[in-house]
Order: sequence, then structure tokens, then C-alpha cells
Amino acid sequence: MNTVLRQDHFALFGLTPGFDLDTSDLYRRYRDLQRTLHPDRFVGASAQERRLSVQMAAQLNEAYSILSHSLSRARYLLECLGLPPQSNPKDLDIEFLQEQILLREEWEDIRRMRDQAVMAAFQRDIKRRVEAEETEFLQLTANASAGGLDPALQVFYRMQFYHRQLEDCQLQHSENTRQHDPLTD
Amino acid sequence: MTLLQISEPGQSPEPHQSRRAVGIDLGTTHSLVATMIDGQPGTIADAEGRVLLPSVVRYRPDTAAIVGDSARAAQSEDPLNTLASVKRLIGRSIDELPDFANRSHYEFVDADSAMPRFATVAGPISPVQASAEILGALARRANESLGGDPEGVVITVPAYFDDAQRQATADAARIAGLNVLRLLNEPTAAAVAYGLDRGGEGVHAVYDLGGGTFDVSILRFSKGVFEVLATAGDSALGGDDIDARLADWIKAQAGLGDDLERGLQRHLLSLARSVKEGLSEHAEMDIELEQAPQGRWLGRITRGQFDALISDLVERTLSPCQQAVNDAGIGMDELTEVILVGGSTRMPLVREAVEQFFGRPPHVEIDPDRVVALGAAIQADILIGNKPDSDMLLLDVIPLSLGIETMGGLTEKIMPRNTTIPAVRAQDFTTYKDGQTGLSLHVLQGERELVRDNRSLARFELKGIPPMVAGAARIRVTFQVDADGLLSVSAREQTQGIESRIEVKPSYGLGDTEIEAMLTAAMDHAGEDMGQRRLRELKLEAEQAIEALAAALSKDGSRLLNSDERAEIDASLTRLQEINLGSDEAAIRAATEALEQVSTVFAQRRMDDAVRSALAGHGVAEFSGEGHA
Repeated sequence: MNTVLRQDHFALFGLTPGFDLDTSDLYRRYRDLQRTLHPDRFVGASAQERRLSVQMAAQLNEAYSILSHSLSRARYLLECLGLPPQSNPKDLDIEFLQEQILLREEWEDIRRMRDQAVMAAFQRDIKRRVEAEETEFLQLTANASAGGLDPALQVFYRMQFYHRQLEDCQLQHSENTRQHDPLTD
Repeated sequence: MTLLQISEPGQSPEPHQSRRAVGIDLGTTHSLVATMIDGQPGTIADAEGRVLLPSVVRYRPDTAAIVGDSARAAQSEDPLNTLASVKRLIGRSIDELPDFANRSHYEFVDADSAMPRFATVAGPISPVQASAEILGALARRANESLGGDPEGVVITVPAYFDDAQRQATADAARIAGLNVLRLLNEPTAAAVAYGLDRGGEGVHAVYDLGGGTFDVSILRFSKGVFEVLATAGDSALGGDDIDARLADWIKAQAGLGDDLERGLQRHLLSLARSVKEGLSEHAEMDIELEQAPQGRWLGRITRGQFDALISDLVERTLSPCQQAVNDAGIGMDELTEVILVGGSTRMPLVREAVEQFFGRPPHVEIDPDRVVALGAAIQADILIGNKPDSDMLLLDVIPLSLGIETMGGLTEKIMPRNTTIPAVRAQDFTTYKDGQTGLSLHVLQGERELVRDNRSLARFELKGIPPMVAGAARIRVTFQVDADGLLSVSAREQTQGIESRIEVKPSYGLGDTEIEAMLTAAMDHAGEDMGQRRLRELKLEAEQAIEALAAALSKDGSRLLNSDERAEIDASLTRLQEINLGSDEAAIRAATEALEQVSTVFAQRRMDDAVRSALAGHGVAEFSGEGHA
């Protein structure tokens, strides 16, 4: 196996593992690597170079899609640190569970109200929470002592919850603002 | 056949010579071929100056099929043997296309079988074979114009084509004897033609309504890279449906019943088509039908009436547009331009709908019938190596999610739609019974939850799993999609390392033996011999391997190989050159494989080296050991 297929996603881009990452710098690295590795560059090459190119370009796409989004980057980082998040975590702290229930109730009310301004304010609030969690996650993982990681996992679960909430907001938003059909109006 | 000399280090390879590469738009209604002429893409016309080749194939007994205008002219007189719009059936079964079957005037052999075949005087003909005839006709046209067979072709397919439809198109090209450089998505091809023409950086929506398919793609174009953010569509919606709607209207107006003879049914569709085209230019059209029950019927339709007749069809294109915009994660205001592609976008109603939906007037500067072929020609020229300095890159996506059947008839997605290709994704499964030694895998494509609502691509079984308790085995299923959008699936039991690998051949496509049979039939017609063709292809492959390695050695051999490694590769290379002079199939195959084997390390080092140089301009982390900024 060659170096690229062996490397972790960060090393593939020549980066040190870490949550803090400049996504536009990542994109430029991705673009330059893809210009070099993409199968379109190997149409006339030998069979094994063509095969390698497909594998490496696929790996690169996968790595880029994971690292370019903060939530998947956080998950990947935890996996690298030996603490893979669970799909149904059992040890969530009780305050967070209560907060989840309250937020979902608030969201259901807002959804029924269909008031754009209220919805937007709610969305801004969730975004602020995501940012706060991300800052905390960054600090906890930057000094990745063994003791710092368990809290980082908890922070991850909170980030994940807020992200899902944001997705719901966006889905609702696009449903509400879906353009009326110009042909049936 | 000329053999390349192995270049000495530092010596440049053969002087660069431009190679014949073409782009082919294989359309539902018509097809065309384009190439680069003096640095500009241009379509290739036939001897009579016609660029559009009607995608109509007429079969006759004991003689070669006729493709194009004269076939189209014979549609009404010979409806059973004259096949039109076969693209709608490629890679599909008839029951997937109730509309087509209902209004079709064709007869099918085994209409229930997975692979529909038209009953013609030349025997049963599959849509793949008819498509191969069209591709062959375009290749001959290119040959006459370029003074030789095209050495490589890029064939465009609707972005929304699923794996089976892509595979079937690739099979058609193989039957036609074409070297396919790439299957390219039609909207992406159009964006290439526009992007390079206008230098337009930004985010573009491409709305492509053709004869039988609808696609919409959202792309970002920046610094030579075309990145598809999302694609959506309907692979059974197009101008054909509009023709059928109008034909039904004429039928009712003229007092014709439903049970028409085939020739008249075919004639009505052609009549509807010309009325539709007329309505793009004129506010109303007169319609004349000789074969009405009371003799000649004269009628008239206004554009308003026509628009009302087809508005739901046009409307059906808008929800894919909304989905693509949502999936791309952009706001309408972030779009730079909207581009119209496909002959059906000439209809004023379509233009209005697009303009209202995207909130801006669409671009139509490049002929919507030609733009896809032009883009394909640009890409073909680059892929074949005529433009080594080009930094253009296309990053496309899969249009529909790929997954596996799990318990209870549910689909588990492994690769979501709009994943950038090439792509690889793995997922682990386990056994559910004690001592289970086999695992059946059912590969699916589509967005729905239930298996039966999605497209079944393939079934295969991983056998020989060592007996373990339920849940102990770890079976990793890996999906890989290449740059043509074609899927291959492999499964491996992780704890014991047992691998069963298949290239997914879609259930509705053709098996290898059927393709082989069609190849033989195609060559019988052309007076060719199967064995000769196989040998020729093998020798060509060997020649390409020699050429590729010689070029790589002259560039990087002295830098990346020590003298022992170099000597070993050189010896293997010389051996293949010698053996390839003869005609011993097995020996050529063995020597080609041996050369591959011996140069594997070199290939990997070259890839690693490419990665290093791509990152050279960027800061590189110290820990990687590759130096740093």
C-alpha cells in the first residue's frame, strides 16, 4: 500500500491533526492534490497507476468531505484519539438530557407558529451554542491529556445535537419558503 | 505497429503529436459528434452538411442497419423495424416505463424479461445494440472528417442516469468498438463549454431538458475546477412526453380513436413534434392530418392552448431544481448564472418557468442542441493528452444514493447521493445466525427506504465465512465508484480475510456472455473475426502499457529507481516488446501482467512523489517527515 492510502486524513493534506483548521486552506490543498491525482490525469497511464489514481482520488474525496465539516472533523478526531463516539450514547449527563427535551419542546412550538422572525432568532441561538461548544471542543482536544478527552466526547454529543437541530431548522425554512409554482399561480 | 524505444534518462520521449479525440452526445432524439479544431471545439457534419444525426435506427433483413435521417423518414412506413428514442429504454426494463410501453407502437420479444428486445426483421434487437449502431455511425462520420478512427471518445450521459443505464451505455460503446475515455454527465459537459467560453467563475445552474431526460446540476467553477455540488432530475421526462401529449390532443380533435395502426400512430408523433417546434417561433400553428376518419382534417392550436396542455410536464422539472438547490447548500442569490441545455428548452414556456424559478434570465448563447457535444470534445482532447498543460478538472457526483438491503426489506444507504466521485465507502455487517457461512448482499440505488422502491443493481453472495456465533463475524462491504460513475462492490470477512469480489453488473443490463454474443454479431456484419479483434485489442493494450511505462521511466526513472530496480523493469519491458511482435495471446497477456507486477513499486513512488509536489506550495506539517514550509 502506498503512503497516501496509509496516511490519516490530516496527513494526506500535509496537516497536523487538530480541530482548528482553515477550511479555505484545506480546499486549496484538496484542489491541488486532486489536480494531480484525479483519474482524468491518468487516462494514458499504466493499468496500476490508473487503479492507484482511482483509489487515491476516492480517498482524497472522502478525507476532504470529513475534514471540511466541523462535526465530522470532530468525530474523526475523536476516532483518531481512540475515543469513537457511540451512535446511541448511554452516559450523557443529565443536564444536557433535560436541555434537549426543553429545546425540542421550544422547537415544536416555533414550528407551529411559522413566524419567520422567531424561527430566525431560534436558529441564531442554536448557532451561538454550536460555536461555544466548538470553542470548548478545540480547547479540550488541543491539550489532549487523557483526562481532557472524556469531556470532549460529551461536548461532541452536544455539538451533534445542535447540528441536527440546525438541519431541522433549515429543512423547515426551505419548506416554508418554497417558491410557489410559477405555472400554477 | 511502431514500437517505442525506451528513452534514456534525460532524453525526451517522442515529439508530441495530436491524437484524434471526439466527444459524442448520444441523445434520445438526435446525436452528434464534436472535436477540437484549431483549439476550438466544433461539431462534425456529415457529407451533406448535417450536424444532428437523428437517433433513429432502421433494421432491414440481411443488410446493415440504417441510422439517421433516412431511417427517420421511414418511421411511418416501417414502424416496427425503425427504432427511435431507444435511450429511454437503455439499461431498463419495459415495466419501469409504463408510458413508453403504452404508447409504443413497437413489438417486444419477451416483454417481461429484464432486458427488453425489439422484434425486428433483423431479429431481436436490444436498446444497447441500437445505441451501438448510432455510436458507430458517428464514429464513421468522425473517421471521414479526421482521416482516421477516433483514438478515444468521451460519451455523455444524463447526470441522473443510474448505474445500470451508465453500464448499458458503456456496453454499447464496447459493441461499437470505441475506446471510451470517460462517461461524462451532460450538464457538466455543457458547463465546460460555457465556462471555458466565457471564463465565468461562480456557481452555475444547468437546466437540461432533452428529448427523453431531464437533469439539473449546480456547479461551482473556480480556477479551472468544475465542481458539481448537487444534481437531480428525472431520467424519463423530456420532449418525447410533450410530443405524446400533443399527439393525443390532435388525435382527440381529429376524432381518431385510440386503436390506431402503427404507422399512423408514428406519424402523429412526428406531426406533433413539428407543430411543437413551430410553436416556439409562432403564436399559433395550423395542423393538417390526411388520415382522419372523415378524410382530411384541418386544425389550429395556439401557444396558450399548447402551454396549458403541457404545463404539468414543465412543472415536474421544478421540484428536482428545488432539490438540487437545497442539496447544494446554496441560496438562490448565490447563483451566478443559469444555463439552458437541450432542444426542449427552446419552448417559451420552459424558459419562462426557469426564469421565474431561478429569478433571472437564463443563458442560451450556445446552441442548446450542440453545447453538450462541444463540452465533451473539450474534455476528450484533454483526457487523451493533447493538452498536457491544461489545469482543467471536473469533479462530478453520483446522482442517487447507493446502499444494501438489510433485514425487513429496508435499504441501508452506504454512499449518499451527491457524493463526489471517484468515491469509496465501506460499512461493516455481521451474521445473524450461529454458524452462518454465507451472506447474501443485495445492492440498491435510490433514495427510498423500502427495497422494492429502489433500483436493484446486483445480488451476490459472500461464501465460506468460517462458522462463528451470530454477530461475531465482521464483514466489510466496500463500494467504489470510479470517475465514470460506475460502481464496483466487494465484500470481505475481516477476521479471516476471505474475499469475494464482484464488479456489479446491473440486473437490467447484459451479462458478459450476452455482450460477447452481440460483439460477435456486430463483427459478423462488419466482416470481422472475433479472435482477430481480441488479439488486436490485447496487442494494443500491451502497446499502451509499454508506451505509458516508457514515458514514466524517461520522466522519473533515474530519480525514483535504483539501478537494480531499473534494470529489472527494463528487462521486463524489452520482453513484452519482443513478445508483442508475435501473436501468442497467452504469452502477451502473461508478459503484460509481469510488467505490471515488476513496476508496481515504481507506480507507487510516482504517486507519492506527485502528492509531495502538489503540496509543495503549501505549508507541510513537520511530523509527516516530508519537509516543511
